[in-house]
Amino acid sequence: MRQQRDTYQTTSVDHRIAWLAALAIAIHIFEASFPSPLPGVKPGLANIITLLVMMLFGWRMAAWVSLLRVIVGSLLLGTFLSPTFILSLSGALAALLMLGVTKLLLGRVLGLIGFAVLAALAHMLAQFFVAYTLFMPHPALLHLLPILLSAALIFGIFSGIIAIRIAKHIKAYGSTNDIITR
Amino acid sequence: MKNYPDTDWQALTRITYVDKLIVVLAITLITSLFVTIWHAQQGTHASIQSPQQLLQLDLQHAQTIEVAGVQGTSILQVNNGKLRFVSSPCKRKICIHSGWQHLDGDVTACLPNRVSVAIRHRDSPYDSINF
Repeated sequence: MRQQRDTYQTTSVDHRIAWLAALAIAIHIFEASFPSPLPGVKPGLANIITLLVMMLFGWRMAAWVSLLRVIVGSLLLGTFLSPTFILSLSGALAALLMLGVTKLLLGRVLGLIGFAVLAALAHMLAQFFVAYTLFMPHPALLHLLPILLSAALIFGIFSGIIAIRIAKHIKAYGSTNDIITR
Repeated sequence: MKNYPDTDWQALTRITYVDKLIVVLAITLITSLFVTIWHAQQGTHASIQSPQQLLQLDLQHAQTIEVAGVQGTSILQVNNGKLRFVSSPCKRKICIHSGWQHLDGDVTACLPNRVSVAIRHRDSPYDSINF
């Protein structure tokens, strides 16, 4: 019989995922302290990390970072397995799916703003339809959809602009954190 | 950039015509959603439910009618495609204060007197809408 090791060897890729997820979680929690004019309207700044990770390290790592962010963020905020968590998870999954498909189909002609806008819209649409089917199946909720999508569009454009600025910075100075890229 | 061997830096900092097209398409989609979802039709008739009967009224035909409820008589006025409670024997007069109703899906009622009114369009998609 093979002997079980009681410690796991972690790779440099694991460390990179952990650092980037920690960054996304910090932004996620910082953002949770902002007041919101409407339930469901949030800038979604943590998704900038997901987007940049996909462009720099690939979709698989972006999926790790995004899902770790949702799970750990909800544990720290005390919303794990609550409706908030389900909405957050469905939005993150939809955004990841949208990013993956868009990168395959339009990766050669699209910039970060296009990615960010499409991901934000997918995120909002998925959350809306989960909220509609699971929590509030009422036709009046439909009246919120255009307002929520407008917010997603505006925040998506801003996220894209911020992501481009960060990308320029990384390009100019290389990584500022040797641990992430070792 | 030895740290990111597979990264296409040009792709990371560009804004292409496809980006602009996506933003324009998104604005078009959201605008059309606003137009379709926020569009409310004028009602064409009113269904009035009282303890005794269910009445259908044509809103184009100006009239004042009396409806018997459990506490007394509610007076409803129809004018210019709109309907309102003019008087009702209830205590709080919520039905009167809710004013003129004219859009498809609008609902008003005098609950103490058991008289309710729903404004409908001929081919209305909803039974009622509330906010």
